[in-house]
Amino acid sequence: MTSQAYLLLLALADGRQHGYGLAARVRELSDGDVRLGAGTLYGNLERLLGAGLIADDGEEVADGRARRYYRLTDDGLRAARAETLRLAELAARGSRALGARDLLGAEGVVGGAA
Amino acid sequence: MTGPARSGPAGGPGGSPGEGCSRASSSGATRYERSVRWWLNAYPRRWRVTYGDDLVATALELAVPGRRRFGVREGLALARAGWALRRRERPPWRVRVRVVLLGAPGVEDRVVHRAWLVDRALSPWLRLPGHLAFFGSIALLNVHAGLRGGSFVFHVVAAAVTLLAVVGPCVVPTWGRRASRAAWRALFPDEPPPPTIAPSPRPAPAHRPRDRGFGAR
Repeated sequence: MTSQAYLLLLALADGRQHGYGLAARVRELSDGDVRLGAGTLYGNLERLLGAGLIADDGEEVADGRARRYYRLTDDGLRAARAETLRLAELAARGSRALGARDLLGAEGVVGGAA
Repeated sequence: MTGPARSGPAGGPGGSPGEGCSRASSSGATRYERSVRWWLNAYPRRWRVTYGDDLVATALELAVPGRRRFGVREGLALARAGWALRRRERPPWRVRVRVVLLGAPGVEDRVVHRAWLVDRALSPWLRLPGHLAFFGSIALLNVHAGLRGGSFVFHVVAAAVTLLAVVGPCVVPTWGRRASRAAWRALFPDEPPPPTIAPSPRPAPAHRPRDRGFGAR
């Protein structure tokens, strides 16, 4: 799963959302690192729709504009949880690796003299 | 679907960051929207009918204020996504050949490859390569026959008319819709054609003088 798709799933974890709302939420979740344009956003949405991870939740008028809403499916929620767990385990392994390095000293190189 | 997003000042209290382009001028917003819609052609028509207006509305809101055109990088991302969708939904070549040559898919193909079949029924451009391969060969044979002997003018005119009949639905909208309705009926005989290929409503007749009978004038 790409980081953009993962962020979109997380953005929908709060509830249904429309395109612009999703782009804003992704920017917020990524602390401003990921700015999705319309092309990238809808390319990802289309792939997630095709994979059944999100669903079209109909069209509504919001702020004077017709908006199509999207929602997370059960499969999408499971995929987001699995990816979160995977990233958490990766972060834990990363911390352990860095912790081992720290035990050797600030300039220590594993398996050799500095 | 999204009438308010198409032109004019963007509505909505609070305003969104990207609304500058639609506030700047209605012509600027229209030009921006036109450029988004141009890139959007990479997606199949079926997808554009459902999600196109929503994408345009989002693009207008995400636009950097003052921008008059959709950025090339974003446009390429849109085009890539559209073509990737077409590629994913394209059936194996055996199914494509069967549909192009016989015009009627199998029962299972209608379900499994419905998206591709719907796209094919809706767009004359998607039917063009198959038609060109078949009718183009006939046109070439006609020209060949004209060069070998007989009435050269007749064969060249026949070839030109054949080619015109193939290309016409792509360039004349009314013709295209009519051809699409016929294609739809062949591919989905049990379903009525969707409104996108419905005949365009005829304009109401202006004042029509009362029929005074034959030879009244």
